[in-house]
Amino acid sequence: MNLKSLPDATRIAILSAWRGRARGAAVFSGVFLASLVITTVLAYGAGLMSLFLTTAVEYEEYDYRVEMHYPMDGKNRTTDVFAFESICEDILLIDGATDCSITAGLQGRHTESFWGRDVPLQTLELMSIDGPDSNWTNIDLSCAGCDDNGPPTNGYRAVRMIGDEAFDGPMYDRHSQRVISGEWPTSGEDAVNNRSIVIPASIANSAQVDIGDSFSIFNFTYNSNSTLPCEEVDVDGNPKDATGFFQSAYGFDNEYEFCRVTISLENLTVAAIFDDRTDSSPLISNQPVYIPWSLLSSEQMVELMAGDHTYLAVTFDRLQLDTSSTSAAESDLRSWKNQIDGYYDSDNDGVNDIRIRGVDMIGSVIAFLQILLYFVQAFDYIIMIPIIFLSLSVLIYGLILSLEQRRREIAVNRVMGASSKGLTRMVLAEMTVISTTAWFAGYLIAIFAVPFILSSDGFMQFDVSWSDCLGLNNGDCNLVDTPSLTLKSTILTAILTIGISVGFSFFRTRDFLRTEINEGVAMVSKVSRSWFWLHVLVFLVGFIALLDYYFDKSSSIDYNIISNAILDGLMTVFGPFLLWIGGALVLAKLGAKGPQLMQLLLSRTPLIKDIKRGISGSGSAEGVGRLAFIIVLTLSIVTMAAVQGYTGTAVDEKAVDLSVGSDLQVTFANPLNESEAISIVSQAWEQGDSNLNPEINAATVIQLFASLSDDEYNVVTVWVVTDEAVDVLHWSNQALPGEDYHSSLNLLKQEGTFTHGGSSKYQLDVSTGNTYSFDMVTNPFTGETTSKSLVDLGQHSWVPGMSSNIAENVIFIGESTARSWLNNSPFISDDNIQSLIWFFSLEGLLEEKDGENLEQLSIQLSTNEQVSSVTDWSTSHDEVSKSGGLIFGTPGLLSLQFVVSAMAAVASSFVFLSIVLNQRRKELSILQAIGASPSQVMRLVLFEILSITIVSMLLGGLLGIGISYGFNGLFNLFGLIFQTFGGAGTAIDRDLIWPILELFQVGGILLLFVLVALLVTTRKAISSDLATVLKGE
Amino acid sequence: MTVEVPILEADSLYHVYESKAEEGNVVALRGLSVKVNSGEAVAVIGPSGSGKSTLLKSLGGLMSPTAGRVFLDGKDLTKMQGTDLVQHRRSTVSFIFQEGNLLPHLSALDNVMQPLRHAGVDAVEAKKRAIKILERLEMKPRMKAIPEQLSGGEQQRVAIARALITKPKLILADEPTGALDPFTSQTVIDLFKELHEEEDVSFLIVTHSHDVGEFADRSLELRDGRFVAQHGEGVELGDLSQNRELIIDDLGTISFPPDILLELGGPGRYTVGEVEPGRIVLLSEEASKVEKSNERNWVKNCPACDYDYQGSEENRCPSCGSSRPKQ
Repeated sequence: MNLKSLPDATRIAILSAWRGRARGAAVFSGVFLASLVITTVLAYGAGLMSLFLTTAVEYEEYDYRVEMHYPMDGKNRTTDVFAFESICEDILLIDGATDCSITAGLQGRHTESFWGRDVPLQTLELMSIDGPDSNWTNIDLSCAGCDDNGPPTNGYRAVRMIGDEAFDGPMYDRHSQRVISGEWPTSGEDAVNNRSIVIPASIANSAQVDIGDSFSIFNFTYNSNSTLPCEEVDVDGNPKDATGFFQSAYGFDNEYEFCRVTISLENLTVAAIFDDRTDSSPLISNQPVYIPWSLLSSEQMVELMAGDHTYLAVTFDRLQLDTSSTSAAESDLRSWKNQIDGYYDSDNDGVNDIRIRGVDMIGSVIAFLQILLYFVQAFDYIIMIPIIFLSLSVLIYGLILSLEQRRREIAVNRVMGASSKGLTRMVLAEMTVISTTAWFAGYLIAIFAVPFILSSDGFMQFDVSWSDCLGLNNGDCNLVDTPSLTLKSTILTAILTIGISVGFSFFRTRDFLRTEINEGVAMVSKVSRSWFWLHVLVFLVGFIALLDYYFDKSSSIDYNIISNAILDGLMTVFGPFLLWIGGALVLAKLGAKGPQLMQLLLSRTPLIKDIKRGISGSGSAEGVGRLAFIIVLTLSIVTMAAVQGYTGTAVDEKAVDLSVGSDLQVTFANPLNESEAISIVSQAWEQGDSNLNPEINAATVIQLFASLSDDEYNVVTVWVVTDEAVDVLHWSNQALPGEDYHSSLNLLKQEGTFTHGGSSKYQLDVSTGNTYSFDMVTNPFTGETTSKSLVDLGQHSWVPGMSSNIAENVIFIGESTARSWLNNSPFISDDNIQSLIWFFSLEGLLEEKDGENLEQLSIQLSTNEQVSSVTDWSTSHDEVSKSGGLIFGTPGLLSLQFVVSAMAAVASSFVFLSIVLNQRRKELSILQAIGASPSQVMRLVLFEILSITIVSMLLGGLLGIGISYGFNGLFNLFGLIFQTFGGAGTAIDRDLIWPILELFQVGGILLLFVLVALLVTTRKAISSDLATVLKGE
Repeated sequence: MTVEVPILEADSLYHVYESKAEEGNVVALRGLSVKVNSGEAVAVIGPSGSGKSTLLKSLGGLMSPTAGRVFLDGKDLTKMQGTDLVQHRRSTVSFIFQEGNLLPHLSALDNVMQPLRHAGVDAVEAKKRAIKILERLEMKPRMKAIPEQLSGGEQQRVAIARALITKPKLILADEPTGALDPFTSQTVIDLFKELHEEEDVSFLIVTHSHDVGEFADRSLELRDGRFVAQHGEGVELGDLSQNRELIIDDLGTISFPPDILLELGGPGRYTVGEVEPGRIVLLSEEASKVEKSNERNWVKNCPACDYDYQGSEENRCPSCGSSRPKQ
């Protein structure tokens, strides 16, 4: 074909595609689905990265630290503060740079590789504080938890000294966004004049600090580059009073000893308290205390500069950062770094021969996120495989049907002199037009849908107001920004979808033309080989994998089908897919036999008495088989998506129940009773601006100790579940033994019962149903013990609000048991239980605006001096949905899968139904011609197609149940990876939830659509001119 | 002396359709030979199942016969394949079918242009030629209509335009007027005549139509996959016994048409009574007892409009134009 004819060829292809759209509908659907799914997962990945990044770097105030190129004692360094600060003027000339300030804190890292670094970094560490206003003795300055989530950095609370520039401009915005009490100083001058200090809320809570309180002494240490301050000796060689002290630190391989020198500041005033609860990245877990750099003397400044503690903190406009992919973000960061490094990049250049280098602060966060994102995307692709398979099936069937419908057209073209090559080109041109349109439609819808998917916080639950987003209300649509796909990714989706479609078209058309051309010779067309037995084999292998998984999980069956661990693992991963694909292929055959099956049930009814003969031959047509296959396939996906979606949401919620335990968990500074605790929460609530008036209830769990009467050294922790705790805590089946936690709670309420944890079972050697005698010290003054016999109710896995490690090692008793046991204890009296930790239920608050009110209350409480710490369900849920049982956004993808499959079920039924009925128009006309009434024909078609639909739907649902079980193993595996990665220590059972109502709704809607489609198409078929239909092909 | 150059020549064509049915394979063509000269119009007549369509496909190079050779414009089609075959066919022959067989999604103009697209002619040139030919067939005003918007006659005219656009030397037509009313049929036949006379296009037309038969220079009678007889101009399809020449093929085989066989006394053994150049007398010895059917008479009234023929011998109804069947 010459180029001059290209426009004409394209016009013909578009014309054929449009006028023959009925035959191309299935091809369109297939490519559309594939494009929608692939684009969604890619765009979702980009959006997720952007969200992760935004969240992760939200509390990282600086983008780059600019430090001196060579380490301490090296060349091209300076201790001239003015000269160092003046570099900022040059850096601010870089496009995108917004602010720059001298800062002192963590020592420079002068090694290339993060993991290769052996010497632990040393921060400025807060060693001691004191003052007249607050209870400083409460504060534990050692930062015990700081090493938990990352590499060892330091053992004490970090101190960060910031220059004057950091108190205004863009750095003011970044610093002040976390302030929950007081105000971030608005200028360096203010900060120095007021001797301002900004402290984390956790320190403020412990010390019950108020804004304006002062520190009389503030001692922090820095790591000296010489041992002299620690080993100062007099002229006789005897040690003088050293100004420093030695401190040990552990690197990855060695132990190091540092000489720490103390700097004391006096009369500092608390200007602001910031929220340090969010530790988005393990690399920034130790939240520092901020003090102005200018409070130091010149000598101290020089000392810190010589010790490599100072750097220039630089901020860039993050909106200029391309977050569409990690590589794009990294590329931008690299570009900025290169520009920074471009200044003073040679050893004998620049101001005072200083040489600097930029270290990006958020690149490491990106690297961390990238690893997580790979897992997330791998998992997302896995859960989207069913839809991809569905779209390919629809595409292939569509192609076959489309070619079959073009048989006559192809013959006519051959007669007109079309060569095989020309015909293939003609078909491919049309398919390219259809596929390109379908790809584009799928692409657009995916890009539109992704912000909603990212806003999902549970299966079919979205964190946005639809009416606001559709402009029906005046409210704000708090959707995340639409992620943009890179050109490379966009081209990839196009190549994958259009390429697959055109590729399949090519091979199919070639085979089709080959058959067509041979047909003149062979009167009997070649029967294609049946793969039925292969399908059965695949189905059976998948089914065995399912049984194996079921037996593994079932407590009552102690039998393993697959004992080989490797094979077992492979079956866990691939079994569900084999079951699903094989099952759909095999069960579809059964679905196509729906009319015969239904006939067995209804043969004696008058409904089908007169059309029995017509039914006996139905179900054999190929189109009918395809209709059955598509219904089985889509319904199984719908079922799986709904079951796993609801299950995943429940797992996330359970994870929150486990960590928070109730709507709100508050740790108080001093033991309080119930009414005191409620009063504090009520006051905090009233200080908010909500009009709601929730009923606040509180409960606590009291810790006691007991030992077995026959083994006094075998001491176990006893937790008392109060009666209020039964109502206030978020219980679920896994929390207590037995199938029904309500009855278990009732049993625990009864006097003389207990439950044991996994470890305490072995410690005490107890077993369910038996009675054991325990001793407890009931009078701490006299040491008097009281014995009590308790019946073991069974094993609890976890308890709301309690770490699973603790729950493992304790036993639980009810309040009535505790009261009768400790009747005279001063710790517990009839109407006054005192405790540090209280759980609260605030009726109806979680439903309101997704717990926004609860989050506000939580922040309000955290500033209260009587409150040590507070966690609320809603904030925890946000965090858990990022790193919990299911990964952040997956419920959104499963929601998409659910909606798309349900729509695909309806749409493809429509398409295939019209094709089936079109194929059968002649048959229906013959029936009428030989005397069948329109009513009989209508009933015949209705009965036949509805039978196929209903039977296929039931089989699809059944298969869905099977694959939901099967995929549970795979989901568990990924859940475990995510939990390990996210640092969560709790493995929560994925007890499947069966959303019967939703599934019936989808089934009902599908049936309704099929019925409407049937009535319309059959009526059309019946009312068409008999003679024309019978005469034509 | 003028040498008649054959545009189409088939020699001993056999075609067997393989079948797994109990009856076994079906032999559609049995050693059939035929020759069509340049500028000649030949009609093929015969009952259903006699092998007409198979013959047309084999002669047009759409299908490879099981045995035998087909020469189209001097080239042996049975020895050609792939692009060579398509190209040779494209430049030599065009087909016209009963239903027009237009591509339903394309306009009349696009349908006519389609063969030129396949031939690689550029779109501008193809359009110019298509409009010209549609104008000649008086279809230009309707050239943007799609087939379903065209009447049967218009569709057939578009199909003819499509067949002519490649300037073929031979047109193979399969019941070209079969789906048309008598008046439209006549228009089509007139058009064929015009083309035949003005353009010197050769025709091989499979037909049941009296008028088409009349148009042809000669008609070949096909029975059970072989030509049994040939008729001159103006064959009366209702009465093939007129103007009939029986054919003895190269192998010396002669097939009697059923009506002659009936007249003869049915299959069986005959003795040769007398043989002279151009004359043979057969004498019945053990011929089957085949009952002669009674002579069938024309119907008295037109079955369509009830016109009373009043004893006339007309074979078409003067009132509605439908053909007059026998009782």
